[in-house]
Amino acid sequence: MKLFTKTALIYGIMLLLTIGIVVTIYLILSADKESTNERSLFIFLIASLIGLVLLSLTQLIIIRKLWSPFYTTLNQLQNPNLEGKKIAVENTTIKEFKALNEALNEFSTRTHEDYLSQKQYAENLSHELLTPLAIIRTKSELLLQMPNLTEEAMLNLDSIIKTVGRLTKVNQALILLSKINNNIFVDKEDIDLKELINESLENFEDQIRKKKLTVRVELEQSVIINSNMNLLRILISNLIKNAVFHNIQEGFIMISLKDHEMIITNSGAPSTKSTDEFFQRFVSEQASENSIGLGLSIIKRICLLFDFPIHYSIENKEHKISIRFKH
Amino acid sequence: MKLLFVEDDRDLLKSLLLYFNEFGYNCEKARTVAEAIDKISLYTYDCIVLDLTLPDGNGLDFLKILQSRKIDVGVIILSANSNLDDKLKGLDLGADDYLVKPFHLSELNSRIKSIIRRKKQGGTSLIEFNEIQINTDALEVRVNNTLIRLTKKEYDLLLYLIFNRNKVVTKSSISEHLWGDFMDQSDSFDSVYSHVKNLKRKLKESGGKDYIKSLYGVGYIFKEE
Repeated sequence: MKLFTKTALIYGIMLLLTIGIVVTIYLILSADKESTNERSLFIFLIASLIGLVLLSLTQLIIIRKLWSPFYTTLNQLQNPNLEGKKIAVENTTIKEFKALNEALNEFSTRTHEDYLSQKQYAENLSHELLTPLAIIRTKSELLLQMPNLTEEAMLNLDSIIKTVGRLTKVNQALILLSKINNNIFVDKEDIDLKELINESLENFEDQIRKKKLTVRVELEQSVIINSNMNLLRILISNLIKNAVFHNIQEGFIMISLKDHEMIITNSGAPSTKSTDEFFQRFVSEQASENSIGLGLSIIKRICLLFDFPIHYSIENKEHKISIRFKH
Repeated sequence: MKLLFVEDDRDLLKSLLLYFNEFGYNCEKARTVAEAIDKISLYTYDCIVLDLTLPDGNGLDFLKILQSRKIDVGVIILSANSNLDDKLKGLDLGADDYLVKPFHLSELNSRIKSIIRRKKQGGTSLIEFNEIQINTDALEVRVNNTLIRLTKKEYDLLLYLIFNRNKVVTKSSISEHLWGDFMDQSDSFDSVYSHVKNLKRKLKESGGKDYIKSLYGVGYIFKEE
């Protein structure tokens, strides 16, 4: 049924009802021969007013009810987590709302399929790069074996090999990010954050010793969260890696874990970009040999995935990142 | 030592054959699952290097066939996928190791050597190079029969260099061998340098000769003087 028709129908019925009520009251009054004209007119007036008010109220309620499928659909559309989900619609007999729902469903299905194929596309492309990278690397290493290479030739090869290394790291990060987007990491288990932090610190032991860094750790007894082990390990590892590698000689690192909040503070070179820009953008500080941009992208993406609020600030050459691991 | 390389990319295959032939291995190739099956029906190999993405199927299918035919051979998987699940699946199906592309030739060599040594029945756990003797079971290193104390990293480094002797090993590959993915390239090279320096010192202190040569900062080569 068309919206207009239904509305008109309802209005018509309500109008008839109101008229009926008014007429009934009038008839009741006119049946009473003793009432004066003025008085009956007054009562008639009041009755009409009441009738109109009732009519309006009822109309409002009915229109609200009439439009409820529309509001349901609207609410769904306004949901920020709509990514790839079908719009749940309320069954309705009204033609226009039905058409709206169908159109929206088609649209959302199409968008979702596009989205999926793009995600797949990104991951496929990254994989396509791996064999060519392997070829460049192996050929370079073969060249390196040739006898009587000049120093110049060796240094050029070195440059190629190092660049392949950088490309590889970037590609790895891209693959990781696209995997996160493809919801590969769904398994969850109970994870002891304290253990992960200690594990990471051990991994970077050599570097820490080399830079003569002072590491101070204040970890609350076993903070357990239920999440994906792989991603969390990558998260913590990247955080600590950044704190170690972008630190100065004889600098410090302070890690505290209290009330499910982890704060890492470390000394480092002063940043020339504004904090937010530094955090947002992929581009790193110095000539992207240090992949802080990559590391931060991954850290940020993982926090986004699990809804862990993260804050980053630089004050007086002190870098501070805090993450809240909600239960 | 007989090796079979199952890889469909021609360029990569050529690199592999060239490198490993020079090392003295007897190398064969297969570019499809079908070809690989033919090869194993005809010959026995010490180790198979298997790429997973092949034009006529998945390398894992080939692994299953090896298992069903009860062929005992070392298998190292080369994969474009660093997916943990694939890795576990491969290992479950009988693969001995898993290496992600792009890899270092010296790393692949080191892994192949390890697999072959492990597979050798009643094989010795001793590796000798002139006055240097390494006991891989006891994780002990002796120079002129004197035990020397090496850190884990120094031990791994020595083994890696000896496995790849007479070939240039890049700092990149050493860094990845010792620290895996953890280290960023440039930051680790200093560490590589110090570990090499310490290793050379310890070998020299025990009267060992200096076999480790540095090549313009690009890498190192372990060889007779």
